[in-house]
Amino acid sequence: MQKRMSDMFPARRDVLRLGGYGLLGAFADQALFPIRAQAAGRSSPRGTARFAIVIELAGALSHTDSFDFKENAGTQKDFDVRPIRNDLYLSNRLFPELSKEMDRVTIVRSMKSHEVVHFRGQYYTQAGRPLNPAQAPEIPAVGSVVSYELESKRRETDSLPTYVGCNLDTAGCGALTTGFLHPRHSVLDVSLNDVGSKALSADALSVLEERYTLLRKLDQSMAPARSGRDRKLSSFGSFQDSAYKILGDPRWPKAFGFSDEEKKRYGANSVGLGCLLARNLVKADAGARYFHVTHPGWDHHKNIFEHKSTDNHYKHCNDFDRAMANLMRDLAAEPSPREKGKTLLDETMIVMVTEFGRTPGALNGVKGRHHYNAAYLSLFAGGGVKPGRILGKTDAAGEQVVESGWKHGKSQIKTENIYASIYSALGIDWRKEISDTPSKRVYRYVDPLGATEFVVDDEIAELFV
Amino acid sequence: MKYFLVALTTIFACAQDPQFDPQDRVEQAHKPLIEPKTKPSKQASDLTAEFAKTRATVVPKARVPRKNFIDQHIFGRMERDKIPYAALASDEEFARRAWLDATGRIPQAEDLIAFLNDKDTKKRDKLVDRLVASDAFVDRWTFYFEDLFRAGGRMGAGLNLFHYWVKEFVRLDRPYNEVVTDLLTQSSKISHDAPGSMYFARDFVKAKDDPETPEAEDILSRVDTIDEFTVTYGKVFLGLNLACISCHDGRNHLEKVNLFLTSKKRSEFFAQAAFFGNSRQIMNWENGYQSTTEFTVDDVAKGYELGEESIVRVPRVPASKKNAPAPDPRFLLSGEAARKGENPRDELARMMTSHEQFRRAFANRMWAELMGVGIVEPVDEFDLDRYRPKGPLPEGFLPQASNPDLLDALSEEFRTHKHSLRHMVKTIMKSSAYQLSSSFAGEWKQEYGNYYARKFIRTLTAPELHDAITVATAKAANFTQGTETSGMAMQMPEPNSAKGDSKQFMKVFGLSNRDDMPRKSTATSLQAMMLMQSRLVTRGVEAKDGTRVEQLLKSFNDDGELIERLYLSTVSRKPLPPEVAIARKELGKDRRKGVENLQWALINSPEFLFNY
Repeated sequence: MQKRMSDMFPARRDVLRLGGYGLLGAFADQALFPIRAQAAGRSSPRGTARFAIVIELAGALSHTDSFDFKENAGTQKDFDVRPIRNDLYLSNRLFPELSKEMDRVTIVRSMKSHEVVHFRGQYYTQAGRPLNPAQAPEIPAVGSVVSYELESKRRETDSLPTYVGCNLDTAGCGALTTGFLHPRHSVLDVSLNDVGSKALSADALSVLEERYTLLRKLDQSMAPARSGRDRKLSSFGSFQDSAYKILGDPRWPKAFGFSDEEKKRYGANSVGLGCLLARNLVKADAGARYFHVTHPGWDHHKNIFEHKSTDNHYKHCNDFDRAMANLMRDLAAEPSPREKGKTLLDETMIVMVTEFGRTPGALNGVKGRHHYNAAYLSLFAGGGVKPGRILGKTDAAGEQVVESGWKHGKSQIKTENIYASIYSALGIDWRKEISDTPSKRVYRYVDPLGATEFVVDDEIAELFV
Repeated sequence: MKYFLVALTTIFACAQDPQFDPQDRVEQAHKPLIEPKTKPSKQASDLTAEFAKTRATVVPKARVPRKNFIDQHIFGRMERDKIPYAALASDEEFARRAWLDATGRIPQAEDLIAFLNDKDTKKRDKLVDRLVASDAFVDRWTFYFEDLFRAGGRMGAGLNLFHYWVKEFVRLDRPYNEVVTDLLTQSSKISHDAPGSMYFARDFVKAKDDPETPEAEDILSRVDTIDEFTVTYGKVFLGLNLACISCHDGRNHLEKVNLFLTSKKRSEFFAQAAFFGNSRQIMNWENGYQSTTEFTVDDVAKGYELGEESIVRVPRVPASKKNAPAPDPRFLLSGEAARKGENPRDELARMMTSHEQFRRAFANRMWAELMGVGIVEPVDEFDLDRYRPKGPLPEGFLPQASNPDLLDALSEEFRTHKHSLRHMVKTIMKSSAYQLSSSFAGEWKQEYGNYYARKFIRTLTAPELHDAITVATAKAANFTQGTETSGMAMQMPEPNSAKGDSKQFMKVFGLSNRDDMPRKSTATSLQAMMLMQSRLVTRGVEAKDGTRVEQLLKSFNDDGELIERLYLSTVSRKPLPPEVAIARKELGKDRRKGVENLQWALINSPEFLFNY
């Protein structure tokens, strides 16, 4: 038994060498999460990326006022729309920075969402599958699956968790849990004024070390008294070990050390700082491999272009524009320490997702756009994505998809396929499944049957070739 | 005028004598599941039959006393199925649990010591009575009900009134059915006169926002608001999730989710929603804009208008039937129609608060809150067809209730005791089932959980943990809102009253904002970081400004006594000998620093984070 478990998780021993408790604790309760992924080898993951950064425009981006621009009765005079290249027109008022960087980006315009409400839509973007209330408690976030998959690759120096989130607590569904996976695969969801972000002085660090040593000593002496109690009691120890390791790692506060110049460039807002943090953590390479940055506030049902409002399409586009453009620039300027001739952008897949689109055409009665799911878009860059292209095509109004842009005929591209592509880029077999879940229902990494209509369980191969 | 009519009918409804069922029904409900002398039944429930085959290796020798009907059900079932169970909790384990559950706070060391030294054999019952009668009980349960009723920013200017109204209900132990009747039936001209009306008002769905529209009520989608509210009270008061059938029939959608709701149609949801069909929630206007802080709630609309455009749901009727007549109100669980001439809201309150599912849903909530896991889970998603299944269930389904006999007995107890919160809390806390240790000797199997064979542990909620640190360190936090000044988060009128370190701390531990941010409590590394580095903790353990550590350093010259008192103050128990040895060494190095470090370590020990 012991042998089999250690076979399954060889790296964890190294990771938790610090303090006897983590080792004992993590292994002791491992038996309670006897999850084992099966059927490897059914897909051929590309392994082109070391990192993935998902930027979620929560609330839903209006596709016809952004990267699938359509002139219509709602189009504003000050958009200053300019041609970028064939079939790509972009408002210079909304996206002045990305307009210069679109040769790094590939657009998918043939998206379709199963959802039309935010709670379910935002759940869908974190879980990679529609919400099924019967099964939800055991469904992990995609980031947690990535953490589970990449665990064997973790090095002793990796102090940060694999999955780092930013502002996930602003999502309607909050940050999803690890479901049937061990809690150590959970997201470290930071909002940017968190206590963890403050660098500890050398004095504070030595006090912490002294106290932590005492805590561990006391805890070990208590171990017999804790036996027979729920595993939750002992599993908190693995979070403490992880927290302590992070606090003691100088790379962590450094990742939060944003200069004024950087804040100005990226924007001192949720998406700007989130991307800045992701950039720093990619550079630090301290264990974090998968990032989910939530940019809340896109739900512009009314007054979408009202200049007096501080919460409109202009502001949100400008914030996202600066963040994404500078993230790509900075990563592209940084050579990879791992592979000669490559940059960090080559190793990092950046994906912009949003839960659905917004109604095309004229504005509604309150000068806004409602939810729309028959056509919308997503953006891809870096990490093996062949840039500067557009997959899929909508009709003149942006209402219907007329070309899917991939090999699966008329099937529109779904969130599931975005995650299959991310799995693929990270070298994860996206057709794996886990059958020994607590409910005994099979969990497929990409579920063709989770929605009301059949989903093609494939990556978007056209992104890469 | 209408307003007065509603108020009068409410008073009338409340004044009616509750109908008492014959006494034998009570006895039936409280009948022990198994008479101790009979042989084990062959008819173990589906949930447990498979498991009962495997004989337990450890069965406690000392019989746990049967304190009340709860124990007959819990231990009767375990003995029938030969399920081993934990021993009774020690006085220390019980005391910390009781203080936290009843008052949301850990005990002060002096109170704890007095309890531990008490030789009275009835001291546990006495403690429960004392805690349930305390002011802190009112704070903790007021917070609970404000979470349940989502008393957040959406209640606008009426929030303060609502807070004191809930507090009054808990303090006076008003019958819960009357409280719910108020929540369902009150109307008001402004947000400052009828607290109950805020419950409906807070579920507003905004539709249009056009200051040029002459009718102020146009800024709300009225029927959408009614739909939202119907889903809300269905969950809260009946434990039913009607959200799915608010958009579509159950058939072809819910077969894998909920058998009962599979059989329900969207039209039945409309009939349920129609109880509020005449009700309007009007946002009052200020300076030419609608104000989400002031409401009027009245009952003069034209019924549940099926044709109204919905901004959150698929259309209720096809465009061709836009003018279909409003459905008559009909109670989803009984099919009973509202009587003509009565305000349908009064009718709803009457039917609902007298229905067994109303009591069951509440009893289950109380059980879940005090025992850690509901007899039916999730507490707001009952599947009534799986409560006491009449026949074989479809593949993949198990009966939903782990012990329906017990839950029905609890519901009956609730009904026959004036729907009293305090009585429910006392009844559960005085049972031996509640007082079992969370530590189980021998190999634990997950199936034992269905029997409550050991106490479930739970993480402290954000305000509980905040206040535990406050009590332990004797360093009061600052709250800028409210009249209370003890620095306890549990006294906040709403979560937004928290500021600075307190707010940041509680946010990480899953404080709900009661509007759109649900409460959550999964452990994270960030929580661990917070406990290590939050100023709430690091400043709290500093030996200055009258903190616990400073007090103890001054009062105790003997290290052993100091260590014991620090343990009692922080983790509510005496230290074990190996802990004393380690702690003495720590104090030996540098007494002041040693005590600071020791309290920091105790606050960071996993046991501090849990109610075990």
